[in-house]
Amino acid sequence: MNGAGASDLVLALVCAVVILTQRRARPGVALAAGLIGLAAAIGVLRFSGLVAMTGPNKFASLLSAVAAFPLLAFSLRYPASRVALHVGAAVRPLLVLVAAGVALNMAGVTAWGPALSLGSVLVMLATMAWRRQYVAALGALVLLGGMLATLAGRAGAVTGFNPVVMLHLGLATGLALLVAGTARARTATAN
Amino acid sequence: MSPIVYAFPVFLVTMGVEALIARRRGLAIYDVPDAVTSLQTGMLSQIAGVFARLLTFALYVAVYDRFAAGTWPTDNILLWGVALLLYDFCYYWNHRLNHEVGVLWAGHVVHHNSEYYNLSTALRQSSTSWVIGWIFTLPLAVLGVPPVMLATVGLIDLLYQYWVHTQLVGRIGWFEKILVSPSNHRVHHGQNDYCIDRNYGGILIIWDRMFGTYADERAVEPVVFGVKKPLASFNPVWANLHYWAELTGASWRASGWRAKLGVWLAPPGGWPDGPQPDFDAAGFRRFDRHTPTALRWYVLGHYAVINLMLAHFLASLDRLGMAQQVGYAVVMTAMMLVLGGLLEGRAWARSAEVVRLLALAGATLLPDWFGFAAPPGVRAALVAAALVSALWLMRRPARVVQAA
Repeated sequence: MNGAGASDLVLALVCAVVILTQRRARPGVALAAGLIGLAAAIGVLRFSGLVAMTGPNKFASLLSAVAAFPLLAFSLRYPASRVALHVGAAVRPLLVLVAAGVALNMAGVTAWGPALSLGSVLVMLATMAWRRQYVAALGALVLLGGMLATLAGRAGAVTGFNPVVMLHLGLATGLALLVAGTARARTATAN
Repeated sequence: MSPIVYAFPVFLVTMGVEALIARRRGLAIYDVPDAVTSLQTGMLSQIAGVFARLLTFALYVAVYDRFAAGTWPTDNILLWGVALLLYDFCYYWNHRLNHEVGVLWAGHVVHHNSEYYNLSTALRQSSTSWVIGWIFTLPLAVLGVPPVMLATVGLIDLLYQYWVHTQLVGRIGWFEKILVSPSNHRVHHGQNDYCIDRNYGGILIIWDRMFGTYADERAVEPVVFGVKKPLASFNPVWANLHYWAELTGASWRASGWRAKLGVWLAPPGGWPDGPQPDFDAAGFRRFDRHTPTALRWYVLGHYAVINLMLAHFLASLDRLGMAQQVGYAVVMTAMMLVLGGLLEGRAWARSAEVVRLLALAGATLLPDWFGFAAPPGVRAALVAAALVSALWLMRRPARVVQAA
């Protein structure tokens, strides 16, 4: 397993923890983490030498970009909404997001995925900053950093690091901080 | 050529046999206006499918080409079986969400708005369910199921479901514990409380048993077919669009972007606010415009002509350009709209039908009909049939039927 595989394993583990801890209280967040975790788990196989998993890993990553991040952003922006609180409601926007995302991507609009996930992270950052949830805001910033590192790598800039590893670690750290930061705020509000 | 063209005669013969047996047993399971609406809706779905497949099949192929884990060999019979099993699993979830999400129900409701249940109901298929439905096959593309395999197993799954749309077959023991049967699919088409959101399986009913959506048919509570908010129309185009229109209206009236979007994603009828009223089977009345018998048979006869046109359309796709395909589709759709109007007793329908018949007679003067050069005898027969029909229709009162 190379560095990309190891960092995908970290991301998959973080997602697994998010799913286990949030599945009852915040199924919208858990479902989004599930999609990201699926991509990461397939990535572990891919970067461990299972070349056949390259296509499925890219496809699952596409689904994460076009569906999981918008769902995560919506669930955190509107924590009292049906989408955030019921898995049966959370799965509904995914259908439309996946249909639009895959269709646009196949039609050559490949910027749709990165734009949507970047936009979602900016929404999360603004929401957390507005609510003064600084740990979660830091998580959104780390997510943003990871995504920008990938875009920089894709643009061919000499950045001195492996952008795929940076993305995986950025996602894992950012997601963990976001979920922990907002969960702590929920607990404080409840108390 | 579309395999459905070969299935047409089988459908027509089996429906005829079913109607005859039902008549002998004294069962009122067929109503000509309802059956014609089902058949016309099915024809419309075939026409729409020609154009929709350009998009949905292309998307499947594109995902398969770019993301597939590998390619399944098509010479391995076992893999065909696995592909069918996986397809049926994806079909279950597609079908289930069709019933649970408003925007998907808008595409699927057409299959359920018949208040009768017979083989023609199986052909009452949607023209718009492809809008989102295509995503449910994507897991197969990523797993490496070749497009030809997908198309074949999809057709097998669809054709299997034809025979279960009947009331003439009762319970069949162990069979229906594993497979979809007429009995458990009747439950799926019911609007009784115990039937709602049950029995989604395509071929295998075990998915319903696994995921908690199975219900047995009850001998003490006969199934009442149809949907809670009836279509009340024989118009095949409206049958496809009425729920889209309803959602658009509700979304327009909702305030705030979340509510506007939420309308499309809520369950059909919206999120329940509290306990729902029980279904009143005794108070149920089927939609009926009391179409005169002669007019029912007239429409059925002219439906048969459009059916032949559809067969020709599907058989000629390779030879027709896109503009010709669209033109042919528009002509057939307009014809179906007029026949639906006649069944409903619409005031405009008689005039429109006379225009249609005269246009049909005029079309025989063309050198060919979308590539089909009819022999002189056929042309003469068509002209005669059109003129006799027009004369017969003009002798009838303008408003030929009374609203129920």
